[in-house]
Amino acid sequence: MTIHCFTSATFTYLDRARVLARSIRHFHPDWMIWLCLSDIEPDGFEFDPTAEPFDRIVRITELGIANASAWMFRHDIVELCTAVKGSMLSYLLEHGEPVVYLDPDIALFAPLDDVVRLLESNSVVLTPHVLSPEPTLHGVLDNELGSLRHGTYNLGFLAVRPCPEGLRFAAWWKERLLQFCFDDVPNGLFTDQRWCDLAPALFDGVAILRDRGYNVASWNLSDRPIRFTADGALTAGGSLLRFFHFTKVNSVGERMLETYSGGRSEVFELLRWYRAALKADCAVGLPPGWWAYGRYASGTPIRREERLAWRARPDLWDSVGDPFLTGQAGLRAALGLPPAPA
Amino acid sequence: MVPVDVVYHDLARQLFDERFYRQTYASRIGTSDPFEHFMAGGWRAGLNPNAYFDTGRYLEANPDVAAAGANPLLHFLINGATEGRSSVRRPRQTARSRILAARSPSERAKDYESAHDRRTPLVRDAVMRVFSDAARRFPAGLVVAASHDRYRQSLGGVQLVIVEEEQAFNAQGFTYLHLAPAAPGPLLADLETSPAAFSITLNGADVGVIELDILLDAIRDANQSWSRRRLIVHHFMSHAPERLARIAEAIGPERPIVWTHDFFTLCPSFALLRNDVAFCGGPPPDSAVCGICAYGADRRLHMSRLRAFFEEHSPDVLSPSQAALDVWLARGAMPHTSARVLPLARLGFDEPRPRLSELDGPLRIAFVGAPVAHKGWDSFEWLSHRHYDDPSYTFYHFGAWSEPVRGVRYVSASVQANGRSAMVDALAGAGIDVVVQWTLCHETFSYATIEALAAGCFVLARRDSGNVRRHLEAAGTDHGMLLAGDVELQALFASHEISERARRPRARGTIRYSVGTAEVLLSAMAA
Repeated sequence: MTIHCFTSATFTYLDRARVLARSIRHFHPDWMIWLCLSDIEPDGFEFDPTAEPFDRIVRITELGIANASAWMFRHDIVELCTAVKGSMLSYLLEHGEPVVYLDPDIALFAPLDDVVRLLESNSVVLTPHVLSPEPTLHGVLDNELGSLRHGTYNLGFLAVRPCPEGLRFAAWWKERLLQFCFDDVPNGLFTDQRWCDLAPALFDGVAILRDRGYNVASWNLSDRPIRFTADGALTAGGSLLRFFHFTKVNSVGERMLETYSGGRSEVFELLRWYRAALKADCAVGLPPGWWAYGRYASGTPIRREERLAWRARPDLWDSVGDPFLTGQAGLRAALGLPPAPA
Repeated sequence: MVPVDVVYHDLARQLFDERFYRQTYASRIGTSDPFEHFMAGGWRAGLNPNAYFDTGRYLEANPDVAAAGANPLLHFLINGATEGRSSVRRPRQTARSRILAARSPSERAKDYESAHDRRTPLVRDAVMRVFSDAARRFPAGLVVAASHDRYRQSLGGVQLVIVEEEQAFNAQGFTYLHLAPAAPGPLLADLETSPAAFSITLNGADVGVIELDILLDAIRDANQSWSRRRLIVHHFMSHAPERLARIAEAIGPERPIVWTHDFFTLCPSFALLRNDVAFCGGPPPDSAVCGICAYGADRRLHMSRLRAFFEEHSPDVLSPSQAALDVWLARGAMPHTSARVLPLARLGFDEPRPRLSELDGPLRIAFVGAPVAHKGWDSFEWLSHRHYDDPSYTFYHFGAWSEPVRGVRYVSASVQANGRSAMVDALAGAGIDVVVQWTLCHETFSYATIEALAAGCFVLARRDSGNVRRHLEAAGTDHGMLLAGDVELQALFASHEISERARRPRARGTIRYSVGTAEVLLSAMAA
């Protein structure tokens, strides 16, 4: 059994994706590691796929999405990187082997043995955001309500087996993400994640992995404190730490870790390691904030209101042509928006 | 009736530590009055009013205060303290910043460049002359000792042992040749990039720099002059074990002696402080914990090079305490022929005598040594802050350099090779009752502890502090107390139980310093 493991990123997260890939390789040298890349390199930035720690790289434009430009324009960077996951999952399942997805800002610290085991007899494996009731009001508001808003399961991790039920799940998820992968919490949508709240009801064999060592992050850290054993093992809530989800490491993330670290400092030793690893794998020469699909072809940044207005006009998706090429002035006019402020 | 804002302004002035502010922000305040500078806008720039109130953290933790543009110190005084808002930079918070700032030894190596000995190496003839002169003056034998620095230029336990043993060997007519690395650094010397040369001290006199090949020739030539010869490695840092191996061969045939003054032979983090904050005990180098430690990447090569030396030479190992040897044997598994404990000093108690502060006045509590986190400074600073207004305690710091803290009286004191009783005298002279020995390290010997005991102080220490515990256990419950950690320490002071315990009459002591390797080697070599 060769497991295919993929992540989804743009160039600004290339450093994270590289660190993830190396950590996967370290513990699962036999897995095939894929990067789904929703970006185009800027001029002057050297990107050599053969020198990268991924076995294969698939660009968004290779996924066979119909009317791709019109579709991409409807999504911001997070929405797009999550929306492609459904298509990439289906594509990889065609190899006839199980597929694991991991967010680029994750790193492995031990092999994912329980995932491999669960895949032997289940169709889908999910990890919940939180595993036990929050003891403090602050925790309820942040983490339990957070789960109700953003999804019970954290889709920084997903595993699917190519059995009939797994394929049915993958086909369903792909379709939903092609149509409804948006950050619209008041309307019950949060990218790819809230959709999976339905999975245990719609499909058989959906395993919920509740071992505390999997998908540890600031939102569940208070329940899974990081400790180091005398023999040199890393543990989370008493279980072996399998993978940690380092969201927003340079800013808000550190504060969230501080809030939920219970006054202990071990989690910052993980953070220190991660930052050093990112530095060693940084994308040299990449302009800060680069994303090819964040701008019109002219270079003008795309505004969120333009995306939202475009999203609301399916009648225009086939007639306007490539919205990236149309340009801001032309598109705003077509959408009935006033000219952009200077 | 005094206006409210004046009351709070005055309170803020009381909490404000002018000396701290001047010292910390000298370049920014110029001739301004420090307090006015802070109140007028220093706080906006993130400057702290004293060593324990963290302006930035307060605003970060209380965004409503930041949004209102309020002076955080005033806000804390008016609302924050009663609302339980966090203001103080607690030890765990400084642990976080120490962790995030930790760098691997490879990265830190650049910082050592200014310490390199750039003197021109001695020519061959000069070296030969120096050797033959030494052989004439000290003909009984040759002892070659390697350590990590030029011991006569720095303070420290290892350096003091070297001075003692050098004198003992010379007194018996043995030549003592000391090798310091010409290019000091935090790791083993890189064979490709480091000079194969040493800063040499011969029989207590600085000779200059000698290159390895010339040194080897000089040693081999001198084998007729000195029939008894031995290599002692006090410390491997900045040396290449491969080069020391060649010296061992040239000296031959006796096995080298290797000391475990610290745990450098287990890890480049010589105090086994994982990420500069926590004693890790030395888990296996391929463990996940080593994987996330700033020292982990350098550790693998470090261990394989040292293992090669130990495998080739199977040295006699000397350890300054059983506590150190136990860790070394449990975690190192380095091949060796023998391993024994040789304490660096012994403490004997005299008759008890009444002490100055037994009679009256606040209990005098001291921190001894470098005011750094891994020696427990944070916990002491916390105590002094917590009990700042408590008339039953006064706090002191005895050390070679100070870290200004309001409420802690600094006394400059340090031990030099010719004034070994300096610290004991300072502590006794000031009538110190209690020493808080809160090292986070697993101490391999701890002179500081026996100095405190010799000065008649009551020593508080953590149970998990290596040989500190053995010193206290040997001294008995009249002289000290072992605690589990910060909570017990704070409770002891909050309850004032410490005053009762520390006031009982206690004997002072006398410290007899060992002559290091000379203690075992002189008799062996005489045989």
